[in-house]
Amino acid sequence: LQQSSTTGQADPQGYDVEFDPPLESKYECPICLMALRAAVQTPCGHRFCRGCIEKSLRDAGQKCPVDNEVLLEDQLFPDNFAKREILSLTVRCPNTGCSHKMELRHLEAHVVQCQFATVQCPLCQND
Amino acid sequence: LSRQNSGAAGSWEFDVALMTHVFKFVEKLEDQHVCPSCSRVVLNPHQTGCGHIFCYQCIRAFLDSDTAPKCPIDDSFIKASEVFQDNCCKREISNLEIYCTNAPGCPKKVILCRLQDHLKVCQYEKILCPNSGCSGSVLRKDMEDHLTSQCPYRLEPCPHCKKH
Ligand SMILES: [Zn+2]
Ligand SMILES: [Zn+2]
Ligand SMILES: [Zn+2]
Ligand SMILES: [Zn+2]
Ligand SMILES: [Zn+2]
Ligand SMILES: [Zn+2]
Ligand SMILES: [Zn+2]
Repeated sequence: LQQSSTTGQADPQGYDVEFDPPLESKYECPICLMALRAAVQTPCGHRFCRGCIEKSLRDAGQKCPVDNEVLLEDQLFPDNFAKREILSLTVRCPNTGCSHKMELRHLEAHVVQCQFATVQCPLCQND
Repeated sequence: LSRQNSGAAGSWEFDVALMTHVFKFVEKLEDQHVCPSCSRVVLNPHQTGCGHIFCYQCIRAFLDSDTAPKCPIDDSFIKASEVFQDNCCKREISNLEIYCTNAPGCPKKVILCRLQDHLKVCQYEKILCPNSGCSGSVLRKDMEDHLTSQCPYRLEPCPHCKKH
């Protein structure tokens, strides 16, 4: 399903997470400068997060922000190669104290059960 | 394949060179730059919906030969509507370094998309003699010698009038 501006939901940006080794620039979104989320590719051969490029096409006009080539939303192809590569890169758990490293695809599941996650105290309602 | 994929981005003249030369890459090719079907460097890369990258010719062969073509890597169905020209991969490949196709004579290394330019000046490229009637071809570095003393069609100064 395509995310549209009418849903009121913010377009999701890239993965803001620490990669180890550091992220290669070819997997970095030129708009949000984070790791491509739901990577799409343009006919001019540039990759973006789907959310970032759809927002750019709406707000900044129908062109590629890298080289100003004419670009329409229906010319974006899901880059499933890049998506698979990025999901298999190693990342660090963002929680202070946790030294866990894992593939990006497993991060979400880890954070849910990470022992170093900050949770709300059920008694005092403070973090 | 869908119409919007047909236009190439920019000029990619190295495609032509790819078809007529076997390249020696300076660094070992990464897996993603090797076609899983023909095991050569990917020529005119096209990506499938399952995220695998093949030569245009190789993917064309899958689509033409089978009513329900499957990806040889993950067995998922290849849908023509999901296949697109992967110009990102193409740009990466065009920037890989190769040895000149006239190695070992020529010691130069060039990036793939600059090969054609280099061959226009490469001293070890075979070129045709410009003299009409001569069908000889020699290395560029030997052409001067060919023209002045080897070519059977060369013009010699007339020993009588000192003119050509
Ligand atoms: Zn982005
Ligand atoms: Zn572009
Ligand atoms: Zn953790
Ligand atoms: Zn191939
Ligand atoms: Zn596949
Ligand atoms: Zn050369
Ligand atoms: Zn000659």
